[in-house]
Amino acid sequence: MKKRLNLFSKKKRFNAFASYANKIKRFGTIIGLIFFVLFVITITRTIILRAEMNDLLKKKQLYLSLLMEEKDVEANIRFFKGKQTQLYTYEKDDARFAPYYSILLDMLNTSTDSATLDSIEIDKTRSTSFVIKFKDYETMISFLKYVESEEFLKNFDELSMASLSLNRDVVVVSTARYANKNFQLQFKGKFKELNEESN
Amino acid sequence: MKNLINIRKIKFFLRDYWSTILTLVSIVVIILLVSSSYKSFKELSNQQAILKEEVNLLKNRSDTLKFNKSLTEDQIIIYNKILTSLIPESEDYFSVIYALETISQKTGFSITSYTINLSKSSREKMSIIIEGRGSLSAFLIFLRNYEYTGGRLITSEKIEFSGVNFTNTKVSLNFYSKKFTFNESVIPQLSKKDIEKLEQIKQKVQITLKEDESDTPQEYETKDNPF
Repeated sequence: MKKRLNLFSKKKRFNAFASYANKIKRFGTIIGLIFFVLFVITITRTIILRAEMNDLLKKKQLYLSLLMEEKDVEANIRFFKGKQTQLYTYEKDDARFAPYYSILLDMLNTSTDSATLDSIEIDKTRSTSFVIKFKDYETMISFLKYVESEEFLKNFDELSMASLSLNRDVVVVSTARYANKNFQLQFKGKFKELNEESN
Repeated sequence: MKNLINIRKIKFFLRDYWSTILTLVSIVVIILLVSSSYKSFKELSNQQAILKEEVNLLKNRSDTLKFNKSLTEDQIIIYNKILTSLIPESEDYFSVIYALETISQKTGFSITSYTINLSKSSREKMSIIIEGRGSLSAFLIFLRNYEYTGGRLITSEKIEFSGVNFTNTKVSLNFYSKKFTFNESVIPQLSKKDIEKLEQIKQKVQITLKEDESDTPQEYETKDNPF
């Protein structure tokens, strides 16, 4: 029996592939073109980016050489700022007695002539305690009215009267005894913070 | 025989569909090219962003330096001398004594004794209790001027003043010393207020700038006959 080869059955497989082949070629060409365009864009952007990087590298070199020339100045400025920070920090430990003392003295002189500042204590938190002496009762009352005024209170964050006392000093001259009365008012409070220019 | 048929099939397939295969291979090659070029573009883009950031930092540093230099007008060395005098790098007892003597001279309030208060002192702060004598006005001048006049930064945390009995008043003063440590990557920007403050202190403090002694000539003429 002769062996027969049926080409028609074989032909079907290759015909199917032939139709796919044309579609593959068509779509492949389109996709290939798209990807080729993307490739060209990417390469172009890469070239531009390299040029920008070269510019940046030149700028970096320029700034580095400038900073190298001025490294002593930079070191001095860093030292200045560091030391100045230390100065500002430690200055906060100071009670700044003088300006607050002056304020209180001015207010006292404004209110009355016959009152004296007997003692005063001020600390770095601006907390204060002071004693004012008066020769007579009327002066003390007048001062108390002044203490309640806006003009006096504007210099304090808080203020209260701690005590009132009457002292009698006896002075002996020859055989005569003289009694001097004086009134003392003690206040406790906190000054309002002054700005730097007031120091 | 079967192998031979297969080889012939492949040959015929390649001969008939070489364009299709070439198209497919080209697409694969182009896709690979695009992905590798995009990858290198991305890497370069990241590097460029980092470099740009570095250049910006350097530019800011350079601009700040120029501004600071123009503000200090070459006085920075003098300012640093003043600051080092006010707060030395390490404690120097001679400068403490010198400061107290200077304040006494300038204010008229004579400091007669001083004691170190160890309980309130620390590595950076030396607390000293002073006693002195002078007139009431001299003491008030002292209280107004102790802070910088001696050439050292001096503070007092609490002052108790009695106008009637001030001669027995003791005042506690603090002296400071601290080493400068470099810890900032960004250069600090100075302000006019910083410079004005230093100028005010400069008026109160006298710092003598000694010339370099090595400029003086070391050689001198010798004489054979001393007479």
